Parts: sequence; C-alpha cells; structure tokens
Amino acid sequence: MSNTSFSKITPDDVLHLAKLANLKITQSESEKYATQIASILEYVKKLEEVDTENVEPTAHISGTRNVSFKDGSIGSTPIVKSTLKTKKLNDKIYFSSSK
Amino acid sequence: MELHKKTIKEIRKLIDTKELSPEEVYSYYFNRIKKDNSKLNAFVTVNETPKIDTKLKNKPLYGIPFSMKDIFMTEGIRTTASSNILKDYKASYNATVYQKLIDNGALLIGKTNNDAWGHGSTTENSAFGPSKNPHDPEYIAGGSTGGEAVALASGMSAFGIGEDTGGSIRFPSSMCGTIGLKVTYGLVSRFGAISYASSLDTVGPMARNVEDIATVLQIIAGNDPLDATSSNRVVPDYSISDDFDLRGTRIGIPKEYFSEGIDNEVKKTIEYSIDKLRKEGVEFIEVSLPMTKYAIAVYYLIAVSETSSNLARYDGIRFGNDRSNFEEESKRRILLGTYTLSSGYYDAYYLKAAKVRTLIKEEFDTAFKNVDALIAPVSPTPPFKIGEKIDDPVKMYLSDILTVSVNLAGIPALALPSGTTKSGLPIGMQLIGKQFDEKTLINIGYKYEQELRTQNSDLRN
Repeated sequence: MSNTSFSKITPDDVLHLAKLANLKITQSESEKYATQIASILEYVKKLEEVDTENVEPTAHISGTRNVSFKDGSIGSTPIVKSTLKTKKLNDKIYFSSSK
Repeated sequence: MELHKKTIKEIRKLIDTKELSPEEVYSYYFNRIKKDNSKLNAFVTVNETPKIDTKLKNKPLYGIPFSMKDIFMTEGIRTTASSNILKDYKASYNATVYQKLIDNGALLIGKTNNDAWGHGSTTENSAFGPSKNPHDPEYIAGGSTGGEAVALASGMSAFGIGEDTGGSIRFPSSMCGTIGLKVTYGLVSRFGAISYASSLDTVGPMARNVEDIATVLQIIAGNDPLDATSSNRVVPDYSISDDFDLRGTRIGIPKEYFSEGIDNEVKKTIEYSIDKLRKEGVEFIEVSLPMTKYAIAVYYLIAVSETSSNLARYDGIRFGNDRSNFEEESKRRILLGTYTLSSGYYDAYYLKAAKVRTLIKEEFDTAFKNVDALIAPVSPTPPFKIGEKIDDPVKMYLSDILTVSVNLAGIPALALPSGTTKSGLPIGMQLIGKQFDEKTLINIGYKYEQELRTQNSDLRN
C-alpha cells in the first residue's frame, strides 16, 4: 500500500471504523478522534525509517513452541461448568440477550 | 506495631508464634483501608470478611492479606477491569495467579483501581475515578496498576499483584515509591487475567520490599496448562542468596535512557544510585540501544491492534454491559486498532511494528552478552499533576518511553525507589534483565535496598 495515506483520517473514516468496531460515537466525537488518531499516526510514521527487509516479525517473544493440551488433560473442567452458570443464561446451553 | 513495614516472612512468624492471629493481621490492614481509601481511591472493591482456612496454617502465605489489580478473575467477588462494561460482573472461576495465592493461605483484602482495561498511565481512565498519589494527592499515582501501588505505599495491603503490558507495574511503583517486578513473558500464568495486548501482557508481584517480591514470585511463577503461552521451564529458587556479591556484577547504562527528554532531577537521582552501586563494586559499562526511539511507536501499534481484537468479546450479550459503556481512551484505542488491522493497513502498521519489535529484541540480546543487567529510570519525569496530560494522547503515551521496550523484548525488569524530588515525590529506577533471569535482578535489588537506599527514599509512613 502507499504510505501517503498515513495520518490522513477524516471524521467520516472514524465513523466507519466505529461501525466496524461496533461502537456508537457522535459526530463531535468523530471529529475529536479524527484529530487525535491523526496525530498518533503521524507519530508512528517514524517506523518508515527502519529497514525491516528480511526481518521476521515477532509474535511470541519467549520461545514457547507447539503447545497443545495432552489428550484428556482438560476435558470438561469445573471452569466450563461454572461459566455456564452465568446470570445471563436462560437454560443450560443458550444465552439470553436483549432485543 | 507497624505491621505494614514488616516483610511477609516477619508477619508470618508473628502468626506462627501466635503473637498475632490472622484475624488481627487482617483487621490491621482493613483499618488502614478504612482510614485512607476514601482520600486516595486505591480500592474498587474491599473484602470485609476473609475466609481463613486453618488447614493452610503451614503454607508460606497463611494469613497474609494481599490486593490485586482489578483485572483478575475471583469467583464470587466482582471483577470490573475498572470499566463500566464490567462494573457488576462477578467471575465464575478464578485466575490461576489468584488460585495459587489463596491455596498458599493468602487472604484477598481487596481489588484495586486501574485505568480501564489497562489503558493508561495514570488511572485517570478508570470508571471509578483516579487514584491519588499518597505523597501528594494532587499528583498521579501512575498506571495502569495505580491503585495497587497506592495501597502498598500507604500500607493498606501486605503485597500486591499487578499486570504490566507497557509499564503498568513499574510506572506506578515509580510514582508511589514502591517495588514492582515485570516478569519475563510467559513466566507467570495469564489465565483468568483480562487481556489487554496478549503478546505483551505479564502478571507480576508488587511489594514494599524486594524480599517479598521473591517470596510471592516463588509461588506464582511456573507453567500453567490453561495458559498456552506460559513457559514450561523449571522455576528456579528465587530466595535471596546470602553469598551474592555486587563485586564483579556488570551493569549496563543504556545511554538512550539518559538522553534528551529525561528530567534533570530524575537523571541526577539515578546517577546518584549508580554511584552508590559503583562504590559497592558494581562495574558499569555504557551501552547503546538505538532502537529505543522507535519503541513507543511499535508498542502502541501492537497494543491497540491486539486490544481492539481482545475487547471485541465485550458485546454485552453473554456478560457485562453493552459497548456504549467503554471509556473514552478505550474507544480511542479500539478505533485505532481497528484501523491498523484493516485490510490494506495491516502490513504498514501491525506487521511493520512486529518486525521492528524483532530488532528491539535483538538489540537487547546483544547488550546482554556483556552485562548482567541494565539500569535506567522508569519514567522520564517525576509524578505530574492529575489532569495535566489527559487531553493529549501522544504526550501521555510518551510517559511510557522508558518502559515499553522491556515488554516488546519479553524481558524482566524490577522497579525500585531511587530517591525523591526536592519536593519529596518519588523517583524510581529499573533493573532490566535477561529473559528468565529474575533471580539476578532480585539479588541486585535486595543488596541495593539493604545497604544503599537512603533515608529520604523510604516509603511514606
């Protein structure tokens, strides 16, 4: 992508992002956030200076690999059972939500 | 008796010899909460009635009251993340760190205030209002684990558990003059801790002295099958070694951590601590970490991206209130993270940041070939006033400039008091170590504390 779009973000862009993130924000909030987000994006632009060709990205930092549960080690834990007792449950399986 | 000035082991001994009962210890701290909490706003929830189980009387933390940042699941006691989304939420299971502590006899006295979801450096983003610095209530307590540092500095709890994603244990420890350990990523289970940025989040102990940090770390460290990112290394013995000698210890001074933008009083105070350590035989070597200037940019891109994803689960359907209850700073971070993860922007922001993160990690690896630890200030400035930076996110984010690199590299750092400003506000320093080498930091920190800490850097009474 082109980097020219860095730090150009309009209140309409913010309203669109809010929709994607399922957040309700007002027009005046969108203006405030647009200015603030633009200044943050302007700040992070400095990363363009760093040469990252042939550099692998880091996701997990302390070297744990191929972690999987042993068969039968977790199963139906007390945690699953107690979580299903959550107040908003209407019976054993389904959650009730407001309309 | 000033119980809050004693170590966990000393209090434990008083209980063992029946000089004090666990109930008496608990009410000592509880009364201090009653006396000061309304003024300092350290606690979100206080637990009036401890469940003392005498079957645990031989356990190392039996009868010791502790507090936790309010992001850890505690069955039957509300867990709010200091957000209106979860203000009435009661977890149905326990975080591993909490389970380990109560299994060892510790008693949860309360859950402490933080910036909602860990989003902040001052606790001003809490739904329950800011915590106040006990040294001067007009000043920030630091964040995001601010309430915890306040509770410890004012002796309302014997030890604490915090969570550090970009400095959230170290920064408030520095602001309040207490001690906090940011552990190696994966050393302590994150199961049941509300996620902020999953590749950076770490759970660690907070205390009023280094020995207590070691005592608590011994219990909470170790693999947890419920947290796939927790390390399966064997946990070493963290207790203080009597034969540890500062002579021969090599500590690096990263010049970028003492350069432009660092307050003079902060610099002078840390340099004074360095001088004292040098007199004890520590060898200091100047090192350079030139990637430091990119750390804030990398950190905020990774953190907002991951938090926008993590907070997507709070839809108000299964638990908690709906998304209109997010606090302003959280909305800002969710929006920004939604943007940086968007199709077409992911490569330029998240992926780019993840690559620069690799370079930051490599730079630390190189530095640690020559030194046992690094020393640096925790914060570029002493505590500032509540409200001073709240409207300027970039300025606020820059408060974390000296702490975030450690999270990006997954390495441990111990924050401890270095001295105070002329007006008596705390200034903290951090000892930064190699991955899984908390033991060295604890031993250096302990020696420093025992032999070198000046009277005026001592905690509030």
